[in-house]
Amino acid sequence: MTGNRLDRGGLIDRSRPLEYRFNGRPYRGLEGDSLASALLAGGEVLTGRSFKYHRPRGIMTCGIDEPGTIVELLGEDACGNLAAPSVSLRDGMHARTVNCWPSPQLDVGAVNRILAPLLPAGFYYKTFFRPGWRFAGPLIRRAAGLGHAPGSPPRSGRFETRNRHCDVLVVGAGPAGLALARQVAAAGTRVIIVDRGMQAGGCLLDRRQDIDGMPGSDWASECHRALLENDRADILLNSEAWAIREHNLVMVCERSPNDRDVIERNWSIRARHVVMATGSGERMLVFPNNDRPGVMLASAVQSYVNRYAVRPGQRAVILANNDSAYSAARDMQEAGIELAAIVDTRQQVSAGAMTGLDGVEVLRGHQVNSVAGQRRVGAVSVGPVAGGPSRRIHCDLLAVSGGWDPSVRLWSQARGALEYDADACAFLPAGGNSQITCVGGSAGLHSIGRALADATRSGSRIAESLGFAGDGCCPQAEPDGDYRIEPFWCNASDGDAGSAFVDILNDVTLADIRLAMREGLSAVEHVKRYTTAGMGLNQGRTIGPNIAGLMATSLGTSPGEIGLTTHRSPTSPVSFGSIAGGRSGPAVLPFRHTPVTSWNIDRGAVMYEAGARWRRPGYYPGPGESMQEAINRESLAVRERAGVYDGSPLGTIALKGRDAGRLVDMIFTNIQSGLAEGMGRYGLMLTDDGRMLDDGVAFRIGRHEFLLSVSTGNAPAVYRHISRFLAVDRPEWKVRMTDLTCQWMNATICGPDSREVLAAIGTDIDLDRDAFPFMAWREGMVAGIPARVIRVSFTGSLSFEINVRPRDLLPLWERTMEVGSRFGIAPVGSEANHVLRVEKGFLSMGHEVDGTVDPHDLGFGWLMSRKKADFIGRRSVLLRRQAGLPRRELVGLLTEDAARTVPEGAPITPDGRRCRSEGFVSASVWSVVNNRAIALGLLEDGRQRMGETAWIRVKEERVAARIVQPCFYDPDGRVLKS
Amino acid sequence: MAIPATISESPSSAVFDIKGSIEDVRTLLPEFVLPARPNSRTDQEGGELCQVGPEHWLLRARMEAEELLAGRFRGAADNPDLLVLTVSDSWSFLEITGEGAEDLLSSATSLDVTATGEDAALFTEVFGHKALLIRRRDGFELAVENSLRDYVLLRLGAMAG
Repeated sequence: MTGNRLDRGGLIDRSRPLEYRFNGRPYRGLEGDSLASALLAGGEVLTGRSFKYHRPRGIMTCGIDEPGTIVELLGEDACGNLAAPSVSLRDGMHARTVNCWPSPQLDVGAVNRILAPLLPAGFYYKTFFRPGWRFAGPLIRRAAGLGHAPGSPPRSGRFETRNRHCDVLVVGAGPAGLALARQVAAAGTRVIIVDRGMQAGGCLLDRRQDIDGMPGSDWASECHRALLENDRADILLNSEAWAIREHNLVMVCERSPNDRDVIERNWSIRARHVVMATGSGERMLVFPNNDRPGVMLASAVQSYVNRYAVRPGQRAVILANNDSAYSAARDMQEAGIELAAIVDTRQQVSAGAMTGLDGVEVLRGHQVNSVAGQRRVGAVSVGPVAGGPSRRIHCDLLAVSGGWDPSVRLWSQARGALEYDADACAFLPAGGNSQITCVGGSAGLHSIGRALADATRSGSRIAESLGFAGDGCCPQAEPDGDYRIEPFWCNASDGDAGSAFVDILNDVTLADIRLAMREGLSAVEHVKRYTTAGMGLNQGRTIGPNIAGLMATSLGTSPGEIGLTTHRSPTSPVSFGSIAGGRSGPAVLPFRHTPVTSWNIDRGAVMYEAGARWRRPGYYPGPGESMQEAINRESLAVRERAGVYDGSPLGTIALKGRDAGRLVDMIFTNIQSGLAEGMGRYGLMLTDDGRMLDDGVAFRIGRHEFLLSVSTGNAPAVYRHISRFLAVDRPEWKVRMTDLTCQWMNATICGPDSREVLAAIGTDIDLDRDAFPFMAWREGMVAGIPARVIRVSFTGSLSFEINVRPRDLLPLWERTMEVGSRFGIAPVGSEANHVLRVEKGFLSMGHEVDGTVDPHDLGFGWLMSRKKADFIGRRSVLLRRQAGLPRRELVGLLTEDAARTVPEGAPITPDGRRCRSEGFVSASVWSVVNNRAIALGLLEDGRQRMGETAWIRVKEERVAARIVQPCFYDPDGRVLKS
Repeated sequence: MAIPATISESPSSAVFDIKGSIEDVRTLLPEFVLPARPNSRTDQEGGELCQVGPEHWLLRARMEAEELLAGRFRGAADNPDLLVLTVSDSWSFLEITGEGAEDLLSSATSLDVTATGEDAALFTEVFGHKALLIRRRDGFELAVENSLRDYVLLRLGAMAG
C-alpha cells in the first residue's frame, strides 16, 4: 500500500499515473480517479472551506452531492463550482478550492466564525432595511458566491445542442436501468440510456455484489457491450439528465463527448416513455460538528474503498440508523480500516446485518454527541440516545448513514407525486404516470435483487405498451440483505445546535431551522427560503427529509404532512455554454438580410436590428461625420431633395377568398372591403382586448384578393393573429393566406424630387398626381424590371415604394443611386426615418404603440368605424371607454430650451416631482427642418392640455416642455399627397 | 470536421405556393400526379410537387419554366377559392449531404429526421425558423426564407466545422 492507496482492487489503472495540481501544489493520481479520490489517496483531508462561516471541510461524498469540497478548474478547462468527486482526473489538471484565501489550511475568511452569532438565518432580511441595503448589498454579494466564472471562453472546442428521439429513454445506468434498457432494446425499441458516470454500472461500481454469477461491475460492462452492439440502442455516459419538460422532453448535458471538438453537448431528447432509474442517495445525520473533515457518508467510504482502492482513514467509527451501513462496514474492514465501533441509534439490529462483523463493537441505542478535532476528526463522543454518560472513542474517520432517499428530482419535475413512507423514512414516488416509470432505487427498492425484478417487470410492460414483445429474463443477484431503518432526525441541544449542520453546503444549522420555526414559518418552502437549506449546487441532496422530520417533530405532525420542497431544473449545475450551443459570436441572435445588405455594409452603413430580426442600416456616416450629423444630412435630403431607403422588411401578406373582404373588415378598425381595385387604405388592427396590435395598409388586388402591408417588427405577430382568427374564430370563412414578405422587396424613394427621380430611372407607369394618387398602387416596369409601385409614405414626404422580386432589388437600387445622384439623392437609414416620422407624428410600434394604448389614445378615434357591426377589439375598447377613466393620450412636446433633447422613455410627472408619472416621452429627436428638438409623448388627458407645460424628469433634473399637437411637419398633408 | 456533412446551395428554381382544394389543384395541374398524403412529394418531368398541408402545395420547377408557369397560373386568379403565388424568391434551398447529414440536422431541428420517409417534404423549424425539409437519396434539402439564408448557413457551417 502506498499512502492511502490499496495495492489491489478498484477500477483505476495503476499503470497510468496522472500529474495534477491542487491549490498550487503538485500531486499524483491514477487514470480512473476522480479529483476527490486522488486527494484522499494523497492524504489530503482538509480540502475546502464552508460557504458562510469558512469552517474547515473535507470530502464527504463520492458524487455530485458533495457539500464539503467545491473546486474550480483553472487553465484550458476553466470552470467554476464543481463538486470534487464529480471531476474526472486528467493529466495536467489544475484545481483550486473555492471560497478560501490563501488556502483551505489558512483561510482569512475564517474570521466569520467569530461573527457567527451575528449572522443567523435571514439576518439580511431583518438587518439591512433600506437605505442600509444599498450599502450592504454590494458587499454581501461580493462576499457571497463560490467560484469565479471563467474570464474568457475556452480557447478551443465548442458547445453544441442536438435533438434526439427514441421510444424509451432510461435515465441511470445502474443495475435496474441497464437491465431494463437491455430488455426493451432486445424487444426492438429505440432506446437511449444516459448516466452521469464515466462508466455504466451505478452502485455496482461501488459495492461488492454478484449478478448472474459475475461481479456486478463485470455484469454492467456486459450489459454495456450488449447495448452498443444493438443498433437501436445508444448509451450516453458522463451525461446529466438535468430537466424534464412537457411531453417527455428530457434535457441531457453530455460532457466531453467522443468528439475532440465538442466541450459539451446538450441533448433535447423526446421519448415515448421515460424510465427513471436514478437510484437513491444517502443522507447525513444531524449532530454537533457533523461537518468536520473526516466525517463522510458511509456509502462514500464504501465507494472510495471498492471503486478507487483508497482508504479514507485508518480507524473508523460508523454512525447509522439503518442496515446499509453494515455492508459498508464489511468492505471497510476488508480494506484494512480498523472499525472502532458501530454506533447505531436503533435498539434492535438484525442478525443478518451483523454477518461478517464478528468482533466489532456495536453500540445499540447510541448516538454521536460531538466530534473532536478542528482540522480532522480525532475522536467522537458517543452516548445513549436516551441520555447518560458519554464515552470518547479515538478515530480519524466517521462514516455516517442516515438512510437512503430515492432520487426523485426528475420524477417530481414531471409533476409526479411523492408520498412519505414511514417504514422507509423517505418520500417515495406515488401515483401513476402512463409515460414515466420509476424503477429500482428511485422507486424505493434497496435490494438489488428486487430492483432487477422490478426493472424486468417494468420493461415488459413498457415494451408491450409501445407495441413490442414484452418478454424478459430477470438477472439473478446474490442476496444483499434487508434494509431496515428507524427515523433519527437530530441529537443536538440548543447549546450546540449552531454546530449541527442540516445543510452542510449552505452552512445551515439546526439552530437556523429552529429559529425559522420560532419566527413562525411552518411551511417547508418558507423555511427553505428563509434559511437557504436545500438550495445551491447540490440542491439539498444530502438532506433528504431531515428538514421535514425536524419540522414535524417541532409541530407534532408527520414528515409526510410537511412534505418536500419543489424540485426544479436544473437538477445539477449546467454550463451556459451547453444551453446556448452554437448561439454565440455572430450567431448569438438570428439575423435576416435583404438583397442590399452587402451594398450597405460596403458603403460603411452602421447596421443593427430593426425588428423581426431584420438587420438594417441605422445611418450612413460620411468621412469624419458623427452619427447626428449623418442623421441630419439624410433627413434633410428627404425633406429638400430625395432619399431612398430599403423598405424590404415590411410585412406583406396576401389574402384571397370569398370572405377576404369580411376578413379585412374584421381585422381592421375601419372599412376596407369597399376599396376599389388598385387602391389602398391605412388602418389599425387591435388585439382581442382592444389594444393596438399594428397599423398597416390594405390594398385591393382583385375582387376577392387583398394585399396587406404591415410593420416590420409586427409582421410575424400579425400573420399569427390572422391565422389564429381564421382557424379558431371563423373556420367556416373561405380565405387563403400567404406570407409574401420575402417575395417582394422594396426601395422607397422619398422627397420632393422623388417623382422626377423615378421618371429618370425609367418607368411605363403614369406618375402624374391625378393618374397615380396617394394610396394607389400600380403595376409596371421600372428600370426594365417588373415592379409594383405604391404611393404610401412613412416619412411624410412624397414617396414611391417600388416593390420588386429580391433578385431584382440590387440592380434597381444601384440604378436608383446612379440616376438619383443627379438629384442629390441620399441613402437613408432607420435613424433618419425615425426623425422624419416623428416630425410627421406617425406611429411607431414599441414607441407610441406600447401595448397599452387604443386608437382613441393616439388620436385615431376617427378610424374606429361606427358603421361596421363588429371588428376585433371593438367591444373591449367600448367597455374601457365607458369607464371614463383618464387615459394617456398622444401629444407633441417642445422643450422650453429648443436645443434640449430629452431621453426617450423619460417619465412626465406633475410639476416634475418625484412621484407617480402621468406619462412618458415616447420619441425624441433633433429636427433639422424645425431646427430644434421635438418629441412625442403619452400624457394623461394630453389632448385637453394643449399649450400647458409638462415636466419631464431626467434623473434629478426636471425639464419643461410645452404640450402641442403631435405633428411638426406638413400638418395638412399637402406635401404628402403632392 | 466536426460532423461529416456537406452544405451547398441549390440552384434557384421556380416555386409556386398553391392553396386550394384537391379538386382545384387537379384541375390546375392535370399532368401532375398528386402526392398520396400530406408531408410528401412526387417527382415528375414538369417538376416536384410537395403537399405540405391538407390544402397546401408547393410546386418546384426549373427556373426557366417560371414565366411560362406563372402565365399559365394567371388563369387561377378568377377562382376565388384557389390562391397561386410565385414564391421563387422567398426560399433559399440548401442541400445537406453526407453520412453526417442526419446528425447535422439534429442540431437544427427538433423533428425526428430519422423517421421521415423517402418521399418526405414537410414544414418544420430550423434554428427556430420556419423551413421546408425534403428528404433526398443522399441527404436532405432544406428551404429557408431567403432573408435567413446567411444566418442558417452560418449556424450549419459552424456545426459542420
